[in-house]
Amino acid sequence: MNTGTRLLFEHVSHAYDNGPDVVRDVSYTVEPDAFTCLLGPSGCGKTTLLRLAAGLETLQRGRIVIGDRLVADAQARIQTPPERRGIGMVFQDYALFPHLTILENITFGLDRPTPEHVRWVRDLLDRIGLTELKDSYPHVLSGGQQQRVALLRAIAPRPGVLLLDEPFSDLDVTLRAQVREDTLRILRDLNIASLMVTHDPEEAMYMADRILVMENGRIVQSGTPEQTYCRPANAYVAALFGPVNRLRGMVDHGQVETPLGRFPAPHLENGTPALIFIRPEGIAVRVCRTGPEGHDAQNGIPMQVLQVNLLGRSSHVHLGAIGAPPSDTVPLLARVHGVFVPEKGSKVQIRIDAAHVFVFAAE
Amino acid sequence: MSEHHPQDEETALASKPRRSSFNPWQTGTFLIAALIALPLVTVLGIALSPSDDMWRHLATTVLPHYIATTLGLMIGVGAGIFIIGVGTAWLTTMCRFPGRRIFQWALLLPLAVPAYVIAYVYTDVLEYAGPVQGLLRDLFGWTSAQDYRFPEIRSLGGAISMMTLVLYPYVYLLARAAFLEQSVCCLEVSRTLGRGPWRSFFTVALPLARPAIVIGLTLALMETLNDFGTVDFFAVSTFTAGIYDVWFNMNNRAGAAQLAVVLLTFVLMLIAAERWARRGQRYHHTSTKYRELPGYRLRGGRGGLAFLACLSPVVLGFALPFGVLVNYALDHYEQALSDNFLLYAWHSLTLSSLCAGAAVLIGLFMAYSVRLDPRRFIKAATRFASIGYAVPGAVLAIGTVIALAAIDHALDDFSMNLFGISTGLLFSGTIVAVVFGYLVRFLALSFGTIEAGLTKVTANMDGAARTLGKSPGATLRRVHFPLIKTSILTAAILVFVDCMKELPMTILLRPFNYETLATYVHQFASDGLLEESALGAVSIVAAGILPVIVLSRTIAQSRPGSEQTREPHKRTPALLLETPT
Repeated sequence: MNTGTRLLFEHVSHAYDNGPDVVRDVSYTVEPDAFTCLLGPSGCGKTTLLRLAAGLETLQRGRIVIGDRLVADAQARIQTPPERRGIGMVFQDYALFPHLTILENITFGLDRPTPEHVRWVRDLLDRIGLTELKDSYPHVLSGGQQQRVALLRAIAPRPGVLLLDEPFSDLDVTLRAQVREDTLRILRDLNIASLMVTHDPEEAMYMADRILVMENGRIVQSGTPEQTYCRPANAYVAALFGPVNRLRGMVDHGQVETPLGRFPAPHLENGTPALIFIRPEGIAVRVCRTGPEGHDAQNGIPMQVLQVNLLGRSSHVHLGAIGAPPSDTVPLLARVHGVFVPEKGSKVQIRIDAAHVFVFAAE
Repeated sequence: MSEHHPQDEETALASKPRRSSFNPWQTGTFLIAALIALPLVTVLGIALSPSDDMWRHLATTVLPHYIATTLGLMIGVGAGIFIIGVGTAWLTTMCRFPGRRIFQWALLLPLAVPAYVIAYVYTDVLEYAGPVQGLLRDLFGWTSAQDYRFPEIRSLGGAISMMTLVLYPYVYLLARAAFLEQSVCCLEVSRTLGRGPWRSFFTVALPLARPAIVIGLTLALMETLNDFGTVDFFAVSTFTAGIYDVWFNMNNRAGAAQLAVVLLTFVLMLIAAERWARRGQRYHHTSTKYRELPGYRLRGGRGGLAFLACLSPVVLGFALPFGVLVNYALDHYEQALSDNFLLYAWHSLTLSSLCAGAAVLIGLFMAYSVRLDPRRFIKAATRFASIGYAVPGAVLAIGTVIALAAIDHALDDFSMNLFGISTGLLFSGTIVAVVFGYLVRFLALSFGTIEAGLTKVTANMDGAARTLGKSPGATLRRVHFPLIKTSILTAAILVFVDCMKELPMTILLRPFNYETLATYVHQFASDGLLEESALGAVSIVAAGILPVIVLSRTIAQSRPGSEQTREPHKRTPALLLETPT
């Protein structure tokens, strides 16, 4: 088995047709023992980075090293073609060869394999449950089966590095979870450096050992899923994981004063504007019992319910300040676990969990 | 941490991969483009180089006449094919009447008949001694030509009629494809806004189809400019006929080349007109909703008129001339066989097969080369190599002859100086010259067809094969080739048949006394021996039916939402006219 091949980008930049750079000065090493996800919205340059690693795009600036081989160096005009890079790639549309059977697709990349290698491929085919379909053609397979064939085809030649370009985005939601799990299980045994592109933060959180967040061609944060979620490097990363409540304020001696209270901002300069992000799941909502005013006052900030959307596993509660007309305020969004449907207009109290509050410098 | 540390880098460069320098695909593409451009560049070079006052002589004597005749021919043919092509396309696409489904493909049949063949047949049928005039004389008791007036077929009007009859399918094909692509919703909107079928046609359907119709017209008019057999036979002095005349009868190559350049400006004008007509327009589907076209049901007399309107082009352009030829061929096949028919057929077959094979190989090479490296200058090189299709065969033939002669002389001098051996003429007046000339003219056909076929293979399939360790060549062999076999076969058929029909280049380039079916039929028919050579003409037409089958299958699949969506105009040489973007 592979003893680990790393994939290294050094000051890689790329532009299409004299347009703006879509990849900007990316330096990073994908380690062999970690499943790494490139996370970002479409157009942020993540697929381009993947294609540069594969050699499907010609490198314009920087260097790329796979294992101990320099495969591309823009300055030295070195550009190893994809077929000699020892990589495997899974494409978003799978790109199965329609004129070849499943087995022929999977063995496409094998030239004179050893009997042991063939046995290994057969075992894998068995594991993904496609042995019986090995002589069929791709069009008879379901989306999930096609995805598995594409994965198997990419890893059959035992590449040092596996690149996956949004491999699950064409699958429907219920199938996706299952196929993700299967993929992880197969890859875990291979000890292969894997770099997967995705725009789905939950998918990245679920699968990755390390997440690289890309914004406008730059890597703005790299870290574990926990670091990415709990300590976002900037407002962009914080906003990746769904809608957030945004507040503005001025920094006053390491603190920012807002209608929802004071938040610490020790890293920001005095007197500068600040942006405060509060995740909806960081707001606890409690319905006030009818009773004398002020009884619960110390326990939270009083607000009123403007609207509730029940989503199934959680409820979205839109809140507004008491007394103010609804049109006047930007509603605060709270996500409450389970079924929680207070009356419209009812009085509630909220508490804000500091772990879900992020203060950034406003630009 | 996995953040990158630049200093461990130097040890990482254990094995240096080779630098990317020589690219066989790119180099090959440029070589091909240069070679294919050679005849055209030669013609331009000669025409622009200072020469005797031949040019002034031409300008004052024959040139105005050539221009007037050529323009007259183009206007006449253009009007004729527009009316027949658009009319029949609209009837078979949008109306319901008896025989509609048969006409949909039968209307393409005249495409199989070269204009010169139909010209021989109609001359034979309509001349003074022919059956039509004979019947008229018998009926009315006339005894000589002084007793009645009968239109002379061997005239400009006759040439216009002949070419209209066999060239309207270009317009029909593209107009029909455009009508099929139009969403019926657009027409229904027009109807609900209070416009009748006629006004809807003129205000919605026709303008929407304009780009396609203009391409069809342009292609047909290029064929008109290319024609030599008809105008030679009818003694209509167009440019192509004039080039031939100046070359062979006045023995003046420079003068022929100068005429050729004037002819080229006609082609450029055509292309410019085509661009202008399409200004600001793109092919786009007007709606994403497609339903079965409703069809205006034509009943009674109107259905009968529609039937006749579609029947007459098929009968006049195909059934009648083909029937006459088959009849003659059956009567005279023994004589044809003893007249070396088999040898000429063998010549045609080998030449056409050789050329089709070469065109497909080179077309595949170029199309794949663009795919590997779709940069602007590579695309430009392939467009350059496709230009021959727009250039009349006579022009290309002149360039080919002069260029090959120059190469032959250079080789001969070189060999004499070095070894004292004369190589003689290696290429000029050989089969090589003919095949090269055909290739220059028909490469665009195979390149365009194969390029369109390659769009069926997604870019990620290339990526998948490459990342699985296959070189570009192996990828082409194992992925693209099996997937585009049909397109390759189509390309081969199209080139093969065009080579079979080719007349002007064959006459100018062939070795001495080397006859193909086309030259043999032309020779015999010019001498009034059509009946004896009818077997040859039938063979040419029969071969021409092959691409008609291919095209009618393509157009049947062309409707968006049908199983295999392909744009038919992409499969015709129309893509020559596309801007290289």
